[in-house]
Amino acid sequence: MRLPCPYCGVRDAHEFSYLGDAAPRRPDPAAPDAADAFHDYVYLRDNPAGAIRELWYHGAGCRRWIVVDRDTRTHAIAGATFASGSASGDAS
Amino acid sequence: MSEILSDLPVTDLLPPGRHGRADGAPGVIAHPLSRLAVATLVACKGAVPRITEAALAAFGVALADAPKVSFTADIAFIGTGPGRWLVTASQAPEALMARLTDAFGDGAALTDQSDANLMLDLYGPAVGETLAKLVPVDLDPSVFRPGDAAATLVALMPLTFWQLNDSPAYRFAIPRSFAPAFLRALASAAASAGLEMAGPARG
Ligand SMILES: [Zn+2]
Repeated sequence: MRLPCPYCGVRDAHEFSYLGDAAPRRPDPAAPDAADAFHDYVYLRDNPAGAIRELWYHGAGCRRWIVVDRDTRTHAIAGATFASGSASGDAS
Repeated sequence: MSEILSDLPVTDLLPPGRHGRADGAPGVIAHPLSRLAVATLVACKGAVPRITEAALAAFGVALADAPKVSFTADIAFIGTGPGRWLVTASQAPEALMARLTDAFGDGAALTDQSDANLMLDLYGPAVGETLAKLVPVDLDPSVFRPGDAAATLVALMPLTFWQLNDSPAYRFAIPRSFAPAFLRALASAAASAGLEMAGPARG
């Protein structure tokens, strides 16, 4: 599988580290239901057969986190963008 | 095959001379550059436009925030990541750092890397087939051309390289502690074509 890094261009997936689903957002630790919210944030993941947005780290290239749109059935990649400011607040 | 690798201590650099196929002209020439000053330039947050303007004003360089080489006769900026460049110049490291500090001031983090890398030029008729065994980037001229750069892995070693011209010749910045291992990998990959390892030369 090859991933289209927005900076480096198309590169082999071995140059990247995989983190996982880009959707979960860190809950507010001060909220009254924080314990339940953190349980879901840490442990619960969707397992879609189809499109998913996920975080990859281009450690062997530009050293940036990117968000990749991938189809889990075909590994077809629909696109990739830098993660900072979009998917994960602490990813850049 | 290159016999020297069976006896050469793994921590030693490949000695100058001919390695691998001994007859005919060498397929690959490796040329270390000993007098090239190298620095990293990392733009502060939001400062890329400022850095780009300063590069134009101070050096006459149209700095690309991309995996490209932006250069004039005496200085080159090689993109390694968003807002990050490797800068090379044929001068004393202190002189390069002074020029960069004057140009970019507090808009960027500047670090002298002149001792951090083995800078190596690779060229010759078999450089393409040799690098095909080492570099996981497509170097076909339709994809990778003079002025293109890539930060990538060679035999699990992180490095940056860029294409100098369409002969083609490539310049590699290899982290110094990986230099012996890189040169062993190079000697093996180039063995069938013959490798001429040149002595240190002026950058
Ligand atoms: Zn990248």
